[in-house]
Amino acid sequence: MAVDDLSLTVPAGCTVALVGESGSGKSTTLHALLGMTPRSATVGYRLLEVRDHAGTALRVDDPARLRGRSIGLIPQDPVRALDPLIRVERHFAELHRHLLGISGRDESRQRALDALEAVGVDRAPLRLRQYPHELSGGLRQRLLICLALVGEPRLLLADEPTSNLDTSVQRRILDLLDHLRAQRGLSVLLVTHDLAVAAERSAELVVMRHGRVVEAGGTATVLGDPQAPYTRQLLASAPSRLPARPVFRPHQPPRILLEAREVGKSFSGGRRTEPVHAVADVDLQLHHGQTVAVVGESGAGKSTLLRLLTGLERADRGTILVDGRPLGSGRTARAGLARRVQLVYQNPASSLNPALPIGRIIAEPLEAHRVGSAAARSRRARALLEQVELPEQFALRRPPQLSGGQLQRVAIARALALEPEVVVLDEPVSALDQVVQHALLRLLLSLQRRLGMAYLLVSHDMGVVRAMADEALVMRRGRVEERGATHDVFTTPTSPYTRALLDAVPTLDPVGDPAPQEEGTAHR
Amino acid sequence: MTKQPTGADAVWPVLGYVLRRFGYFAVVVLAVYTLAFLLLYALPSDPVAVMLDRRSSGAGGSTPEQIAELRERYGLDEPLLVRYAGMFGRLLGGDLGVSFQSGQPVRDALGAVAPNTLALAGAALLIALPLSALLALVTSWRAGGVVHRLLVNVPAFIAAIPAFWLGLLLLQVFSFSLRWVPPAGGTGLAGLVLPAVALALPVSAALTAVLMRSLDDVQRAPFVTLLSARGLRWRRVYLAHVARNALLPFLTLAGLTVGGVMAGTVITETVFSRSGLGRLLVSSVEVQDAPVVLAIAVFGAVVFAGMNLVIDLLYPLLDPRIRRPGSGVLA
Repeated sequence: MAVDDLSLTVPAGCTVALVGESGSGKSTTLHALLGMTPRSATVGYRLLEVRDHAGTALRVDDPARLRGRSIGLIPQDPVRALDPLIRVERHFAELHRHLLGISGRDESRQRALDALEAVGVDRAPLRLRQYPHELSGGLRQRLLICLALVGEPRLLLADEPTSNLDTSVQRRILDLLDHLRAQRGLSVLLVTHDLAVAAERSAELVVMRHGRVVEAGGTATVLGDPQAPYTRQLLASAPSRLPARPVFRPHQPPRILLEAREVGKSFSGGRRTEPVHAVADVDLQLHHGQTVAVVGESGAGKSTLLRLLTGLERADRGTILVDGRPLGSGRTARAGLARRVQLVYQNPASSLNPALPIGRIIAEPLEAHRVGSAAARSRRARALLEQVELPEQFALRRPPQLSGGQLQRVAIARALALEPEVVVLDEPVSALDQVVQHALLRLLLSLQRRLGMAYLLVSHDMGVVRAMADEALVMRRGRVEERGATHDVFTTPTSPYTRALLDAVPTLDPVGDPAPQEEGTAHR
Repeated sequence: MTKQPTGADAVWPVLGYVLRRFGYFAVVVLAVYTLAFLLLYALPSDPVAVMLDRRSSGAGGSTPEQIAELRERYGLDEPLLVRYAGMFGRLLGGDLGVSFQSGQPVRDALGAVAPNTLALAGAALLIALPLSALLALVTSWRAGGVVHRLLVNVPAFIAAIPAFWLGLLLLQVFSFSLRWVPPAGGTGLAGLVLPAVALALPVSAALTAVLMRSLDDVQRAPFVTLLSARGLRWRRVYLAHVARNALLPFLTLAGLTVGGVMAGTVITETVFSRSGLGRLLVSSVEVQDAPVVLAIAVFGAVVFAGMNLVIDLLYPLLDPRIRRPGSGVLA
């Protein structure tokens, strides 16, 4: 049973947040509200009511009739939420014709323009002619909000509307939702796994786990004085609750494992455009035992920098030094580099071969580098499983049988197999639930203390960066915007860009305020 | 999407794309010609000996002078490379050579039967494409529904039927038992129906399976869920969005299917004893009539690569995502 005995009320003009780990039934609830559950599901209601504009409660028998006209849905993944083959204008025209009965092209166009401008889309006439893939994530999400509003619904269901967006874009989208709610008297049911987003944006909070509501009430009340143990666990697992890093003291003499000197990489752009400088003049030093974080919005060049540093791509300019020696090309150089530098990717489910048993996956780097006998490799795999705090028996299981957090532990174990000096962590926890994230970050920290390797971390989550990194490198358009000890960058940023980036991060801080807050002030 | 656009691309991507597709077309045709030429002329079997053996069977031997004269007449005395280039040049000019077997121009032999085969292949495609589209659309209307579960196995079943057996079965039922259509060698539309159906069915099995699969895949895409959530009727979502997105891989396969249909004519024409390229090919291979075999091979390559060229050129019109290769720049 995905969702059991759930009662939910969304007051008019109010944002209710639904939080909980993945698989806790949040999305099922949303889909059930729209009558969109798969065939295998049975949904029962005792009462489903919708209030019309006048405030009269109307009993609903067929939830499918609510779609579009009473309830609008804003999806999680803006990239795949639009039909890729048709222009923005046709997206509107279709809804205008089939939902509102407007078939006039000019009227439809005018309405679409007005709607786009109302949600702050610039150059609206141009946007109408564009295809979804030509829009950025933030623009797409704005467009999706627009499309959800065409039928003038009273309630918006926002299903993790910003979880795939940069923090600064997330903030703007959430601001827009707040603005629309206030302006049009909408109700919003905001599904999120991010407690801080819920804390900032909702008046009421519903905490779900295993398909049941474990706690519900005013947001400030619930977060200020959580009753359910699960809510407490959620609060305690916020990345901002991890202890801050002690000040990093490099070895004497300093041991620099990985160094970039004025590296740059450009890609030729489309027609008649300047080449894109993905990375330009970046310097970076990674000491033994140190964690350096690279932060920035998507498109800032973080991934390209990682690919350069790990030898997956060749720099156009500058040099990359591994242990003081320039990074060579060719098979042997690459194999040597692989023994020193290992990668952990964002999505463990897609970076592990689903057909292999876990033990083989972990031992694979050893096999590739012909380390030890088969029996020794298998012993080592089991030892590595223990190191990442997974039971030994997991060696025989296969990836589909493991959860996301367990898979990421496997990915870490595999990265550790060759005893690398540097582990590159590319958004290592962003695909995971907060509680799982927390455990994984703790594991990474303790592994670093015990094994002494250096981490190169890429993350858009400032909380993760603050907890993990000794030094932070803020990138913007391929260049280093600001760098320094993490603590300094976070507390006294010098660049306005960094400050804006930090300001956009939702915080749980209002909760830390001892004075009990009035309901409704938690959302700003 | 390519990150390294060519020079032409930077100036005018459309032209670059079109030129590249034409280039692929030329490469395919040239490759087929080369391979066929090598197989036919560079292998250690003497076509003239075979030819004379056939022609003079029962009429005594042939003199070395006769052999030399024949070699000269067919240009077989020239070096391989010269023949390779010369023959290609003549092919380009429309001169397909002279048949070893009949001594007639290959062009006439081909011209006599090619319309039959093109009509058969065209009719088969005209049956296969709508049939498979319809079958797939009906099957995937509701994923997991009763109709879906019943019909989803039909393509595999059809594909398992051997083509020659299907032809014989159709003949038995519709020609000999029901006497609706002439059994063999029929001309006109009546004679075309049975062979076209026999050729179309196995082809439509693969087409249906692919379209069904992509219809099911597209239905799982978030944008489909969202369109329903906005209150659009399923019929609208299915036909205007799901079907249209699913059609793209179908189109690619339809182009490749042309090759399957051309190959299938060999069996179908034999079973239904229709004159056509397929049968001409078989008989020409049997007697090692190299010019005819070569001409048919190149003709087949031109038709096949030509159809795929058309589809490649059509693709950017249907899918905006590949319309501007290299421009991954977001607005």
